[in-house]
Amino acid sequence: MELVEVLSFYISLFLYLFSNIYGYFNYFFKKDFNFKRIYKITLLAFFFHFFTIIFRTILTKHIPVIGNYENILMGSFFLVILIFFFFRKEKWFLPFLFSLSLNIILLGMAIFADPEKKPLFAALKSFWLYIHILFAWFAYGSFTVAAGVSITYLIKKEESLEELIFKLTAFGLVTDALMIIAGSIWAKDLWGSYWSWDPVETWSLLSFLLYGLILHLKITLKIKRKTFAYLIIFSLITVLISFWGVNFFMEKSLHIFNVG
Amino acid sequence: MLNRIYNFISSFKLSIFLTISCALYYIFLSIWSLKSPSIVIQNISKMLPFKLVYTFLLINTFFCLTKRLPELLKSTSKNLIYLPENYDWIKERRDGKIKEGFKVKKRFSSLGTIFLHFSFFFLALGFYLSNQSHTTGKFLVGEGEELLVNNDEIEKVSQPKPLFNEFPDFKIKLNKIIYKFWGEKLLFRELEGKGKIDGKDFSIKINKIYPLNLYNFIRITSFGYAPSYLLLIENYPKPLEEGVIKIFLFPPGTKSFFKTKHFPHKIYLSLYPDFYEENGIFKSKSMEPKNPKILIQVYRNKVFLMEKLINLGDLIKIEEFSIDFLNLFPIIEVEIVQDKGFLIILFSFLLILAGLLLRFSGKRGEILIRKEDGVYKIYGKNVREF
Repeated sequence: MELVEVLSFYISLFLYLFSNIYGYFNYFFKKDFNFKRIYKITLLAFFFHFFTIIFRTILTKHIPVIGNYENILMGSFFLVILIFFFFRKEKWFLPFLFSLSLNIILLGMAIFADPEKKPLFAALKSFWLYIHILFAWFAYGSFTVAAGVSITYLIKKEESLEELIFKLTAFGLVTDALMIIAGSIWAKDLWGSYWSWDPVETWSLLSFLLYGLILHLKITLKIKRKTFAYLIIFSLITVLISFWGVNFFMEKSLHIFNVG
Repeated sequence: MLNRIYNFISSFKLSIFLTISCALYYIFLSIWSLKSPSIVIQNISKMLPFKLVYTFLLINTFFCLTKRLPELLKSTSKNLIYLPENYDWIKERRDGKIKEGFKVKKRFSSLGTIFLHFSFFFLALGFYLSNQSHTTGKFLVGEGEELLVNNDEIEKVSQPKPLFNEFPDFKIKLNKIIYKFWGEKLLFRELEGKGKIDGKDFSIKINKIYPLNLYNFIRITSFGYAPSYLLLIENYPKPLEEGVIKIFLFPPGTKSFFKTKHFPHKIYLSLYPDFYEENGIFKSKSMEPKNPKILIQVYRNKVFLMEKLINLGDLIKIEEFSIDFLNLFPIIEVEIVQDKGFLIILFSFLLILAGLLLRFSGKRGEILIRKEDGVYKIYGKNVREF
């Protein structure tokens, strides 16, 4: 079973990589341009990704939520769902590719993470855990996709892309708020306080404030589209730090997903 | 002059400035926290710059809301379609050609915006109250023990805050401690305490609190083993002392001590619940008391008397008395927390959720009225005529 999980993981990673390279090749060299084919290969990769999660769930007897490996596996899964949802049409071909590249980088990092199987510890047996991480994946997934669309906007300068960036960021902000709320309620049960100024909490709040500020700058101060796109790309740094940076560089974090 | 101050305090730009200040402050703290102990990070809210920015943001949020609320409420209570100039005309048309009028979706969208932004004021207020009242205390309770917990019994861990009141008195009976480790590691798969508080059933887990009233609650913070003992003297038929020593012999190897009531002796204990020896060093294979051994060190005042590794049930002779460690009992450390901002924060969370729900559910109810060839036409996909 363990071998099946590893195989399934590498097949999905390889297929994502293949569809991405094939997509870029198509786009830049205009040979045999076929979005549907690339979409189907990515879909196949997604199925293997899904199987990896199923095998992992059977092996560990819980939804993969412990440690960096499992978090990346699930986070990337939700990111691909968002990519499929927002970029299912051929006109979104380029943001599809850019977002997929970001997903491959994310999934690739799972190779370096410790895949040791751990049980669901007493502290993690909470309804709020699932609410908290579900919204975290959606929030960080939308911000990542928004960054991918922003890169596309800077290349293609299409107005419709700007609207999409706005929608993705707004969706991300809402889910980010829900993630922080659920986490805060869980933290009260677990640590006796809604807020402990843990590095992960601080960076999550920072990214929330930053994205909120960017949206207000866009709505109220009407900043330029290009500036908006740059700000969205730049803000992804805070998401990366919240998700990984704190885990890799700060060992003092109270956050349980640090166990990986 | 007052008007200018009011405009400044309720300014939206000030909100942006303060939010950026907060963001920069957090960046600074996040970098700083790389090198600082966690206790320093957790005491951030006590520092003056934080208090200043926070208080100013709280005042700013309040005045922003009071300034904008009347207008927001006005626009919410009306038709909720953007018809500033053509409102009368619409009424005319409604009464004339279109008998039933218009129906616009997302009627309460702007109410959602109000809720969402208003919630931040309650959130800030809740955190302020929490910050001014959050006080914790701790006490130990063993399996099977009945305890009357009052303020003298509780060991205050944190410095009482300005809004702190005494913790409530209550009677706790801990019937059962359920604990399960992950293999041989110091990681709990389960940790739960069950029993009765003031006659009512209760359960606390490592991630589940039990509320005592509106702003006091208890939770488990730690687990350990406590030994029971008998202290005997020669030619005396009954034990001179007996009972469970409320000390924490956990994790394995942790040293703790107790003093006898009748003698000046101090006895240090280290428990190895699943004992084995490796290169002369005492270790424990697991966390479970499968093969428990206790290392004791005895002092009279400051004079070292003896050190011995014993089994449970061994009678140890120490000068004029003997001591026997009979058994081990699971014991938990319970934290009692007072937090007066708790309910307000929870209310603000609900307000955020309500705001988001109203703001983002459904589609925007905007319509466009344009005069074409002398006839007014209405555009907008969410306008339904019926």
